[in-house]
Amino acid sequence: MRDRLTFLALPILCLMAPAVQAAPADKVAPANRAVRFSSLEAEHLINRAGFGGRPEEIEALVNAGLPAAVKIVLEGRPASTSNTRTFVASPRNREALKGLTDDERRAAINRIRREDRKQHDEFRAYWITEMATSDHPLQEKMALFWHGYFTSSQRDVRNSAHMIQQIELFREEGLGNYRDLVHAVAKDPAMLAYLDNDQNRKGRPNENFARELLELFTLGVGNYTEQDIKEAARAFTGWTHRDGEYVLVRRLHDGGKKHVLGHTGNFGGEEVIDIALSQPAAPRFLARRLLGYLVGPGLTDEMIEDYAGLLREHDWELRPVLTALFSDPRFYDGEIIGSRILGPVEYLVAICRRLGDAPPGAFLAQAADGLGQSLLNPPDVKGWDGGEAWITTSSFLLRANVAAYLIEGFDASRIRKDFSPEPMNPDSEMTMEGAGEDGSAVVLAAARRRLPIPAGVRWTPSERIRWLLTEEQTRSPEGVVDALCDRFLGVPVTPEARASLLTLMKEYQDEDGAFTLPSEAWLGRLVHIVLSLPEAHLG
Amino acid sequence: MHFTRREFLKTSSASAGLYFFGATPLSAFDIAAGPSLGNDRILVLLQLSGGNDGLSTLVPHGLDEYGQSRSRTRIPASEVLRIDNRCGLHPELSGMKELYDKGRLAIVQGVGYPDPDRSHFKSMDIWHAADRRGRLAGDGWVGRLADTAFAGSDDPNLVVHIGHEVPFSLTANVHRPVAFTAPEAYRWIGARSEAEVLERSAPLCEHEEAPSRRRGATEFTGRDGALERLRKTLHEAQSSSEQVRKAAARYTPRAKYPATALAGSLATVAALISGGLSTRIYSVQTGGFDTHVNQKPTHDRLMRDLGDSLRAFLADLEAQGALDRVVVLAFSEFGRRVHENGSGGTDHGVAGPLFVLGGRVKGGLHGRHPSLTDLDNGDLIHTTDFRHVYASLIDDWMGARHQEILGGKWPGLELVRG
Repeated sequence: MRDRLTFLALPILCLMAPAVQAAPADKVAPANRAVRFSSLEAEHLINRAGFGGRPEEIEALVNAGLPAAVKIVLEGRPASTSNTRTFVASPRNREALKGLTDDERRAAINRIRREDRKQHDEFRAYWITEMATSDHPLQEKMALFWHGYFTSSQRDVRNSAHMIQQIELFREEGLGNYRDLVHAVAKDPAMLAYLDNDQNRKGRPNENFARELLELFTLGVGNYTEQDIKEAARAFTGWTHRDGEYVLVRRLHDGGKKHVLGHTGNFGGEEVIDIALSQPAAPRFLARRLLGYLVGPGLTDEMIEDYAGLLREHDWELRPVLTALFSDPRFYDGEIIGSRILGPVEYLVAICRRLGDAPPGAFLAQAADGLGQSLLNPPDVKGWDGGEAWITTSSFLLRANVAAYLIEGFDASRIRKDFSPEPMNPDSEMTMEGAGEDGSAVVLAAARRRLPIPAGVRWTPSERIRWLLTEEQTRSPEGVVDALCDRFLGVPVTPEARASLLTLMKEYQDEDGAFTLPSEAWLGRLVHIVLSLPEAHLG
Repeated sequence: MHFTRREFLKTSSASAGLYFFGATPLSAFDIAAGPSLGNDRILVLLQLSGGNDGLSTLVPHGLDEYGQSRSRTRIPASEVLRIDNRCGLHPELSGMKELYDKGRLAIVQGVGYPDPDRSHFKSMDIWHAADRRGRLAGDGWVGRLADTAFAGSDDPNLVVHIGHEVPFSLTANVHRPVAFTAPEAYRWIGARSEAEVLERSAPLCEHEEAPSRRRGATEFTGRDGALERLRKTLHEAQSSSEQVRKAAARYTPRAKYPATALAGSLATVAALISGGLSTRIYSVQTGGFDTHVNQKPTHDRLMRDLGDSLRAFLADLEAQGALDRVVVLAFSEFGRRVHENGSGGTDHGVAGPLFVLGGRVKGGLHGRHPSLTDLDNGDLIHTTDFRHVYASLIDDWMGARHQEILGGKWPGLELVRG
């Protein structure tokens, strides 16, 4: 795990030929000469095909032009393997516990649980840091998407090494071939455990995986029958795992004839997957889910049909389909830009990327938990609902609060002050009427457990807001406000918000118009308010 | 875990000097200086997510077929908390049994709906929409109830969900739910002057302030629609967080809650009720009921949690003098199959019992236990459509008319003493 985050100034982008390369004659990509590609569109691309970026990165994409920009986001920089840690498989097999006394066994199990928990926590911290710092953010964004699509959860699987293996599958293959991905997921140990397929055996079938395969991974409700599920479940009998690898136990496998989705044969699981994917509903299902994530609520049925066709045409290869999407004029439509509500992980990671620094991953991961998105622990097999479901009155406030900690830094004393009875500054309100000595300890104890601050973590951003501003920008209130809004928001600030922010600057400008740049601490407060705006949750 | 007065004083921070989000004057729905409970009735919805195994909860110990269908998951007749010769409660549900004996628990047997769906989300969506089409119906039954029963009220706190993920049932046009895990964390950190700047940065358009907001307010197009929704949320957050924290500040639990997340959520509800918050509908969620594998230890634990938490919750409400104002509906999206699967567990089923608790409940067994022999492809056939339960609560408890809210007539069940 990187301790120091090194942000390359993206010289690689500047090395790209600035002239727009004419796209090769390609029946897949619509004519991208038709797309205006200014900083609005470039920021949109960097938001959707990643987690947002700094003004320099956006400008570099504009200069590169649309075709080159699409190439950049799709390919990123080659992944550097020196940053990949090796994660240890936890010995959950009986061998490790053989021959122990009861007490020894209990101690061993507790030790295994503790190590498993620790590895789980460390990986989440590592992954969210990668999202915030990687030079191939699309890779991480797609992994996050697949994590909510092919869901498994540490809570149920209780094996961090297997969960990590699954996430790494998404990170490595998430931009590859979808059919290969489905096959790999069906044999993934975490998935086999999560959907109980490792318990699915001849004569005593367990339908859980077969159901979700058809309902959530390939076809969607209405495109198969209960009977298809029962038959498909038989095809996956005997599929289990050992030492982190898929294993087919023949004696538990039902090799008999099955009737699935109109086909008959002595199918095994692989055949059933291919049969499902050959159904007309399959590419439409993936197109709806994938474009739903990348395009947002403005997605049209027409686009779903078109991209279903493309998926079929490219035999489930994702890169050419995504190339087409990011080159499609419809992707840059006014109804689509800025229309998506950021999920918790996206919101937090965007702040880090735009700031150019990230706090310890443990804090980010736990903050995302508190905002309703727990990495490696999706709430159920459907993943996260997303969209407006993310925004409740409570999560709205909590996001803003976490943003304050991200921008200004924190330590134990700040946390105490923020949630303590003593007023922090004279601005605060008087005591609440009628509030007696009795507090709501039951609910407070619950709140303490849910506050997104891990014990003992402290954080001081290394980036000073002051140095994110050019000399020019520091010369006027408008310069400061515009620069900070431009940087920290994924969409243009509204006129009302801009006007309101400028009222804060009045005290720094005297009658002659001379402007004094506020202190670093004050600038931090300003950025906190920017990140509390409704605009801050759009991308 | 029992919270002593000393612990309150030690951990209390909901008292002096809290920040206020915004400086607008207190609205007409504010809480008076002392706790005033009022007379308004409250509905608490407790969702048991995952598909609770009804046959292990209300155990038909008197039916031979029960013993024949279950082995590793079977509850021996000798351990069942007997209600009558035919059925009884799971041995860990002593809390519920006490409530049953006091006449505070109504058990409706065999609840489900026709043409059942065995997918978690689809079935839960159906319960939430009170419509076989699920989410395609547009909004949730609780949202429709709230918009109807509380029409004309500007109070943003009328529907509260304890937790992060708001159930679809609460989706509404006007009375959208407030959601949080704990009152303490429900505020914006910052100075009042800064909060004012934030407020002014997000003005609402005039038409949004009109009491009759346009239908389909949850549908938005493009960035402007999303922005409109976010601005509304900002303003609602301001006023409701203030009121919630005030209500929680007055709370002292008067019962012993177990140390579980469910108990914590119910205690939060008790805190807000006793603190005089104006909320009329609370929603709480607890999961883990999807017991496909090795069901018994998990389900035993879930039952203990459920029984002990509900016992504490109702005892707390009674001591606070609020028990007669509250009705709890505990439900799950489906029961589970009659026969065990090959993994010591059970797979998704159909019908199951649900539970209505409170001071003014008509306690006892309601409806008919489904047949264990006349099955639909291995599943129970429901004997009561869940919409009858909703109708009874809508009409007799909340004083509204169920026909317009549920889009049909579902008469006949009497679960509460009007």
